[in-house]
Amino acid sequence: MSKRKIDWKTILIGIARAGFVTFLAFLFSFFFLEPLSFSALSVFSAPEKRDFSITDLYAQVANNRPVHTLDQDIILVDIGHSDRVQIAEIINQVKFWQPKVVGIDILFAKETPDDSVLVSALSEAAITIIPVGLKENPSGYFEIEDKPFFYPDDKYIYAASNMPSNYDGATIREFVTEFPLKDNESILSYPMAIAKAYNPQSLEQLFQRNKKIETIDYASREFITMTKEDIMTDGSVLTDRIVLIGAISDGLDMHSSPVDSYISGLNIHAASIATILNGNYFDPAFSCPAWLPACILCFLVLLVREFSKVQMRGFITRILQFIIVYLAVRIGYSLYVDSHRIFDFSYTLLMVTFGLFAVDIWIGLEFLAKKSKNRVIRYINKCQSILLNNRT
Amino acid sequence: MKNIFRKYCVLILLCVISVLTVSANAYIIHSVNGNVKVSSGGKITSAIKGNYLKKSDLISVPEGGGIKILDESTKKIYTSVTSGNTSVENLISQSLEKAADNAGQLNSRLHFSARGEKVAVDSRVYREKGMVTRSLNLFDGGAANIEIAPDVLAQLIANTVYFDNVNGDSTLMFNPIHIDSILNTDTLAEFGFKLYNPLETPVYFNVLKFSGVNNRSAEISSLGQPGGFYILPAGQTMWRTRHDEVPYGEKHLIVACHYSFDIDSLIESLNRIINNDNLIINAPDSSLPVFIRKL
Repeated sequence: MSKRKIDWKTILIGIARAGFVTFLAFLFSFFFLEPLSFSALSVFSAPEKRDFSITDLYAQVANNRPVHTLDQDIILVDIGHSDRVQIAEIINQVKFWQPKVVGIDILFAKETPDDSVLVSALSEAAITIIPVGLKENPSGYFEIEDKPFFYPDDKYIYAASNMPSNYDGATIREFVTEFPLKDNESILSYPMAIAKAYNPQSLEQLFQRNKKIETIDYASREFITMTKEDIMTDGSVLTDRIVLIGAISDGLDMHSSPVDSYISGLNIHAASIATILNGNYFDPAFSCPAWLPACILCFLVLLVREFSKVQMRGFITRILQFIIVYLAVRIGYSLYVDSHRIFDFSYTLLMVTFGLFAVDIWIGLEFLAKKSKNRVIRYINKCQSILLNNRT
Repeated sequence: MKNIFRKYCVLILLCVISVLTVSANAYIIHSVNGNVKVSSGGKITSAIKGNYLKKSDLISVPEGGGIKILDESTKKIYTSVTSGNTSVENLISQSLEKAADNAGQLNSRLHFSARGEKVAVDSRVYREKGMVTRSLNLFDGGAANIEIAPDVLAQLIANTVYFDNVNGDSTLMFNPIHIDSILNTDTLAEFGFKLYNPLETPVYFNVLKFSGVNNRSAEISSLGQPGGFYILPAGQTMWRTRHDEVPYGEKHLIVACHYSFDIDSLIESLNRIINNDNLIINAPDSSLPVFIRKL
């Protein structure tokens, strides 16, 4: 029986072809945001929103788990539709129970005749954090745009309530640590200021990370929310805790988060503070750029395709594509919930899909190139024969 | 001696049991969705938020319903994962099992469920109403949740109308003293009113009509606001007329307050009071912040 000879030339050509197609797919991924033939990302997100992040999927799945944690450090107090006098009453009630930190998530922009009661309520005891709104300057620093009428009364700690997003109205996934102001000054973000006042040591880990923006850990956490009547019934839960006072259903302060498309700014701040206090920070799963594992997977799929029987190629590559997508999501989710690591597989998804798209382009180009080459050769032969005939 | 010792033992035993019972009640109903029942000690009750549960209690979750249970000691909230009957202990272990099942969670989200969990892709909920609401909060946040009791106001109006005018004649001029003539009215050639509010807060008013025998039939005047009441914001004037004369015998009254009132309930109470044969008429109470004036 003769041994089957390994056709190294064919193997090398196959590997080279797979490599070139992978490179082509990589080039496509720079020019096109979505695959033309199949928007794989639309499985996980509304493509028209153009606001997709893989962490949204992970956060939603994690948040749907049937076990949640009731946060023990932060209490939300809902002011509802109270006016300033009623808010002052609420603040007084809250402060009676001696919370450690009081965060006011309300902007008292203009002074009114009834404000003496409010100012008096704000002044008494407890560390009080007051929000300001910032505006970004073209030079890269921020300026205080929205501030309370008593600013800059140094009885309070002022913190920036701005929340980062991809565009106006987009999903709030992160919080900023601090905002740079003019003259090398800076102002802490609202969650940072509250966490610092409550537990200064909680910021040590954050400062060691040396990052300007951190991902908020929304999933599987709930906060006690109280009304004025609840405080009167049982305000003792407020003692020694962070109390955030604001509106949880005011249409002007509702935003989109990965786990809730309509959530109050108060809840977002609470989730940010909880992330800091619990040290639940997220890091990338791999230290290499996202395109590298994506390119490697794409190359492997194309290699398998290259050495499959012609009749089975389509079937095998589609199955592989499906398996890779599922495994990427599955592994990414486990890394997210178990290790707080983020594996952004969206690029992998893109590369695998583009790879198959690029294969079709490559095959077409190869065919056209062969056809053109044959025509050129025939044309040259024809010219040669004409020349020969003329000579004779 | 033995008896005393035995009694002490029983007492201690009872104390220990009660302590254990109290410490065993570490579970609280955090939230309920649907008609969830709790069976405890042979007694079936509805699950109510805030109620305590024991591990051995049975929970009955209807189809589409759910319950969340808070473990006070660990501050974990456990959500029911299926409908049907189960003990608190089982519910918690099922929740923990499902929470730890990363693949199952993901498959469910990607609709790859293999266990017959039907995803009703055709189901709809109709909660989005696509409309805005306007409420008193926009005008007068401080008074938004306060309403004058219709019975009290009706009695005050009755006192005013009938104390001053038992026979259906003469004018009614009543100025609550402490408000100090806050409203200026002009009765025009046609039948109407012009009201100016010099206060710093809105005023709520309506116009009532008294007609019939001895003016014992009260209803909203044609100059009134059938939808409830007028709101006259601070520093504003409102002017309304109708171009005909007041029919003979009718009386039209402006009733104004610092807070809103339910006009339908007010008229109902008013008619009940003024048609009561045992009508008790008292002198109008000038200390109440209600303004009443005949047009």
